[in-house]
Amino acid sequence: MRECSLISFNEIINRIYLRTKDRGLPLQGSIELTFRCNLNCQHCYVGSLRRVPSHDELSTTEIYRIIDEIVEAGCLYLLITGGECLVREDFLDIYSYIKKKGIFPIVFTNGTLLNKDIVDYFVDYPPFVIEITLYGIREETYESVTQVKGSFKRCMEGIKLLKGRGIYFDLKTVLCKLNYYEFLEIKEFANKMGITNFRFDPILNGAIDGDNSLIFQLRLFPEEAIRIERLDSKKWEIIEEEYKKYGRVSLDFDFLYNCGAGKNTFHIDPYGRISMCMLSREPSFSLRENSFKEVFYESFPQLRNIKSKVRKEKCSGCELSLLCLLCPGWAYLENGNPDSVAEYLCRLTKIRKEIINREVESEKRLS
Amino acid sequence: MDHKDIIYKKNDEDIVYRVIENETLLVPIRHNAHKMEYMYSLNEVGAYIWNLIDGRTEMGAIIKNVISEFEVDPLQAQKDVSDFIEQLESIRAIRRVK
Repeated sequence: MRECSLISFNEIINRIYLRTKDRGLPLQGSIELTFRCNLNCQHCYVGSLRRVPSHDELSTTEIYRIIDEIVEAGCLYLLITGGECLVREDFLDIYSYIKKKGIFPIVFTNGTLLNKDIVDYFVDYPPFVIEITLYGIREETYESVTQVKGSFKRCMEGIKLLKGRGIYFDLKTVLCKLNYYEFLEIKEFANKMGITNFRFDPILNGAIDGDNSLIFQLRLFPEEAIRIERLDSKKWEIIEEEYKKYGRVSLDFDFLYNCGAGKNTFHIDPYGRISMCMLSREPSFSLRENSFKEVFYESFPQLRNIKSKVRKEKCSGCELSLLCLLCPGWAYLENGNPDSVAEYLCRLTKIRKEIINREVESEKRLS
Repeated sequence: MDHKDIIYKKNDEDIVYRVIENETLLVPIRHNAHKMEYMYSLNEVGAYIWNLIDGRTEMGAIIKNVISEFEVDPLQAQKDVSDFIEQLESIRAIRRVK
């Protein structure tokens, strides 16, 4: 008889997913503690909301109550993000509360506000994952994105602080027209720091404040984004494999939501509005007025039953539909309408497919 | 372990007990020998014993409870409970208070 067995996080998640696949369970969630940020990144999806004063944000006590509810509902891992989550003076109290409830916390930060107290606490109670976004490897590049003098130095100090205390962290970067040319150097830096899960995103999604003017200016052209993807052989291999495997499968798009949004996931914003995922923010419901379980088990299923009109008409039958990054959340941020198409992603997906087709043809000829 | 008057207490600062979808889990939260991406899954007997560890109940009483609840052979029950307690101690989930 073995009363107690060691089990990996992934194994338990898969086991519970399988058991609850028909009715769903909120295993995975995200919470933005604030939209405020000490940086002023030009491409940021929070947009002008980062300048909204803090008075309407959830209080520490309100957050504790919400955490109690999501723990009771079965949440096992929670992304803590922002804005910049470390801007909140009660960050450590909230983090500690989440950790001590047996949730696996993932912390997304720009790293510039990490200090000895926070890092000491992380040593004692480590995050499941802590991920720092690095916008450049040179001060002028980094700060052309963040628009805050001294931020590059502070970010490097934060990284050094974590490294010095032996806390494992991940690095990622978001690439736009201001910093894409440093991609390989950022990747090399991550490699030197011993980061094994370095990730990057060359595709900016729209902003949540509805103003995409700056994002559309800064976003890389699909061709450029793909050129960067191909510089990372690991990432490109994964994309290639997916395209070869699913390149001729089309979805019917009867329903707007074909993903796990609102079934396994949820997202809570700084004001206590809960939505089905971080991108798909509307409709949302106030956790100041509704219980978590009411929203998750009564309101979300209704949203998941919404039928698609535009995507059904435009995307059904497209053999690239399973590969396209478009989802209702992406569409909402891009066009203000979850049931719409994003020309940008359409182009990107088609170009990827053309390149992969050419490569396959070329391989065939050579063999 | 054959001292039936020994008492253990849970290390709440180190490990958290959770039940999700009939999975009984011990989630390590403190930096120590555990790998953070792992947790412990308890079977029905393990979960039953865990709930009896309260800083007051002696091991002898826990063993008696297991025998009557699961109708197992007393010697086998004693061995199973001892092995389990040893394992919980090794992962710092509990500590001896008496």
